[in-house]
Amino acid sequence: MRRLALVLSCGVGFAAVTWLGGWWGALVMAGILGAMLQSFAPGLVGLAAGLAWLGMILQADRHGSLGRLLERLGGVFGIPGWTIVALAAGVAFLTCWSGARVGSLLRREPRTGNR
Amino acid sequence: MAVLVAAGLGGLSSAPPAPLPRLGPFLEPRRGVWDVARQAELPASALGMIPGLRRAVAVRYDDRGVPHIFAENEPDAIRALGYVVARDRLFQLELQARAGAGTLTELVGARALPLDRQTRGLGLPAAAEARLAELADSGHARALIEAYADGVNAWIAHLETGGAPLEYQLLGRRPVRWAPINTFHLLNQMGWTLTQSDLEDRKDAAARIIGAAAAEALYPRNSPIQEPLQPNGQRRPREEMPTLPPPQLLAAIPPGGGGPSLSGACVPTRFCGARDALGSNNWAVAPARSATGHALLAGDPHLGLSVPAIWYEAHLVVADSLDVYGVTIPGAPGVVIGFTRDVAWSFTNVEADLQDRYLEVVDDSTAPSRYRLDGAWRPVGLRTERYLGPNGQLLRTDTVRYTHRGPLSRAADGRWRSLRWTALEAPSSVEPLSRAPTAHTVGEWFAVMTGWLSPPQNMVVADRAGTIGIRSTGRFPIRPADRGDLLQRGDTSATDWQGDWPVAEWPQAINPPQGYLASANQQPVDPRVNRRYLGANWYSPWRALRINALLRADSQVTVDDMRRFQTDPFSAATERLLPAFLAAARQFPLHDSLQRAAARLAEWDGRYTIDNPRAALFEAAVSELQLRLWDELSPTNGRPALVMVWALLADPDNPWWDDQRTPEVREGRDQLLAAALLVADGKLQREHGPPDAGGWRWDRVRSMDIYHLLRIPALSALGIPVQGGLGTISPLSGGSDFGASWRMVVDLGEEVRGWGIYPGGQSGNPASSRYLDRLGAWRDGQLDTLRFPRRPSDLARITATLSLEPAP
Repeated sequence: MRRLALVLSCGVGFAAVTWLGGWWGALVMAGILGAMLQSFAPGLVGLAAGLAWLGMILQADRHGSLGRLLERLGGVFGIPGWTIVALAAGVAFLTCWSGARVGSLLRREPRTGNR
Repeated sequence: MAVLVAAGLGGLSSAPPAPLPRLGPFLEPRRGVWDVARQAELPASALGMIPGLRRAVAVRYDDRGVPHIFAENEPDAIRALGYVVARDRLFQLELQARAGAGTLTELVGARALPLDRQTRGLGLPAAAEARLAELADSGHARALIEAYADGVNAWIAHLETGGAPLEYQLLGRRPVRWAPINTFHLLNQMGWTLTQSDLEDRKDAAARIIGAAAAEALYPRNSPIQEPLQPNGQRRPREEMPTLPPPQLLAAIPPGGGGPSLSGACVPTRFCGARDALGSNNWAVAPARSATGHALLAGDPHLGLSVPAIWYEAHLVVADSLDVYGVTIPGAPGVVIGFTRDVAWSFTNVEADLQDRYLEVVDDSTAPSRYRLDGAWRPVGLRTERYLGPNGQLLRTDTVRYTHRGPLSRAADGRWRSLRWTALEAPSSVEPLSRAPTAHTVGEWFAVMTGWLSPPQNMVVADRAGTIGIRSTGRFPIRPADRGDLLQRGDTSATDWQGDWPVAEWPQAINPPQGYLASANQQPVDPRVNRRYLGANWYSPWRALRINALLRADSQVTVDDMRRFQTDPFSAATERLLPAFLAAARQFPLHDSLQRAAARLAEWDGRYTIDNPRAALFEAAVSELQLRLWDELSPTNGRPALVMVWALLADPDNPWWDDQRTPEVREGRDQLLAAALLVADGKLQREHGPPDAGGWRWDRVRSMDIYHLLRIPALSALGIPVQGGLGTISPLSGGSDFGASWRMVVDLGEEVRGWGIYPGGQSGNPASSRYLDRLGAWRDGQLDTLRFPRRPSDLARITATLSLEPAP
């Protein structure tokens, strides 16, 4: 339950940061989370980011405009439109998972060096 | 592992392999592609800030997505127009301006280099700079183009915190600020589209193959059928069958059929041999011949169609000075075709000859610095053109040369030629365009539009008092030898233009006794009325013949008649050519296959309706006939107008009918017609199946493809079934994307009412419900009722409001 709450609150954070700072903002936030929250697995950070982006994408719909856009984009790239949404969520997951992982490594490494 | 993933994503987001967009920015939910969905529909209410705006402007969008702009002064109305056009068509604005400026490479990369080099080599950007420099700093026209730029740039500034239209996202670019000169780039691009001509080259190349006399006859100065827009006092078309001299065959025909290619004889950007598939129409009916008792006006300019559409509908209102509804081209600071509370107007292209090419004597065959004129050397003007890529990198540098006539270039045959072209010299058309809606009568309207010099247009006008008028308006040069269809000597100033046609000589008419006026790109004036050279190789007059026939036959024309005429399925070409095929087939009664083909052709009702099963046979037969008849020429380049086929029908033994591939036989008219029909029938059966299995339906043989500006199929409208064919009022032919870009009918009664449609929709956003919402009605020949409120409160169906206020 605590993890779920943490994922959701991180998701809100990712949405806000992405809105303000774009995808680089999400990457930086993931790195910080990875460095700060030792108990929070990088995978959950990625999940939070993926859910945040998914929510933001769904929120972009205006009277069916998202469906029309996906249909056109699918035609442009020769793939089903929904796969582009999945790709966006996947990119958010991978970006933030890798950011969190790198962040956690960066925090751990100096400690090792001190020993 | 995590570092590798992060590095990979970073790489795909900064420098992805072509043609993929940059992954991170593209998929990011706020500024990325998803913002396209967020911006797709107009919010119910919005506020915009425009620097330079003097007073608040109210914009009300109706249920067709048309903005009705209510401003307190004209510059503010134009600022608002720039804003709303950019809101819906930003990428189109930039793309079209770049096309005219020759800077497409900066948007799409090196693949656009050939197009940009052509544009700059023609001197179009230099001409735009000259037009802008000519405008007085405090003048009306400059104020308008600067106001328009204010509006466009206000919308671009608004976008800086959000995403960009889809095309920018796909290209990985951001919109650039709109400069006032872009309006001239756009207008120049239209000028190029409407006035480019390859007439001299076409004739020159043909003369080298078939002799000067035959070339002269094939691309004649006067149309063999005269149905001019300036009535010539005749109650029917005047036909004058020319005698076609036989081809001399000065050059050998290569084995395998087809004559020598007319190298360079067809400008690749414009409809090689497809002129019969093109055309705009307009006409007006006087109150005495209309059912409503008011003047009626119709117009349907045909252009290369695109998604988003060439036109954008708008209504501009400034209390007590301006109230105009119509269509504007994104980038133009005003309505181009439309109506006010008093007058309505529409254009067709004059198709006059406005370009002359001069063979220059130069001092150096590779990089000339001087050219010879009247026995003395003159310096060649030089202008350096630099082509940049999307990231500012230099792609290429060119030197464009100029003589006193215009740009100098080296042709494929090595000769240096300069181009004189009215479009490079004409003053800005912004001023007359902005003044036209202030006219209250046809006379006032013509007086204002006398300042419109390029591209020349056949302007049909009607007013609420019942006056109708037509005039070919523009600059028409006077040539010393009274012809411009031949390459000219450049080493003497005696070949230079000697002035322009006086306005009184422009083809024109007001309130003719016949009670109607019409134009369809035909030769505008009967040479018996005015012999002065205006052009040659005119469009076949099929559409003009049909429109005039319909208007002559109907003395109680209704608004709905006008609408139906615009997509009328009959063709005057059919009336003249179909009987010849059937008569020819009768000469060979023992040929069973031919008789079956002729029987099928005889079943045709002559209509190009979308479900018609026989129109395809006639179309294919005409195409085969032209291939065989003009086999002394190249099959694709320099094909004479279809009306020349009709002209030859009266001369059955003319050597032109002989098929060059069968030297042992000398064919005559009937053999060639019969052979064309037989081959066409067989070809259709091979390609589309048996005649009555459904494969010959007209919409399965021919349809309209309207491509997106970037030619991306998924963003285009392809395979649209359309009524019309060879020579119909709304023509349709294979390999052409030309069509009715806007259809309008106006009833000039007590309250002026208008109906109109264009293919596509107001929004350039592919995710919008307004992207292609009009396509179905356009395809079916329907017109929408155009809402024309006097005040914001008069507009019944408001779907969105926009309040524009001065930026602090």
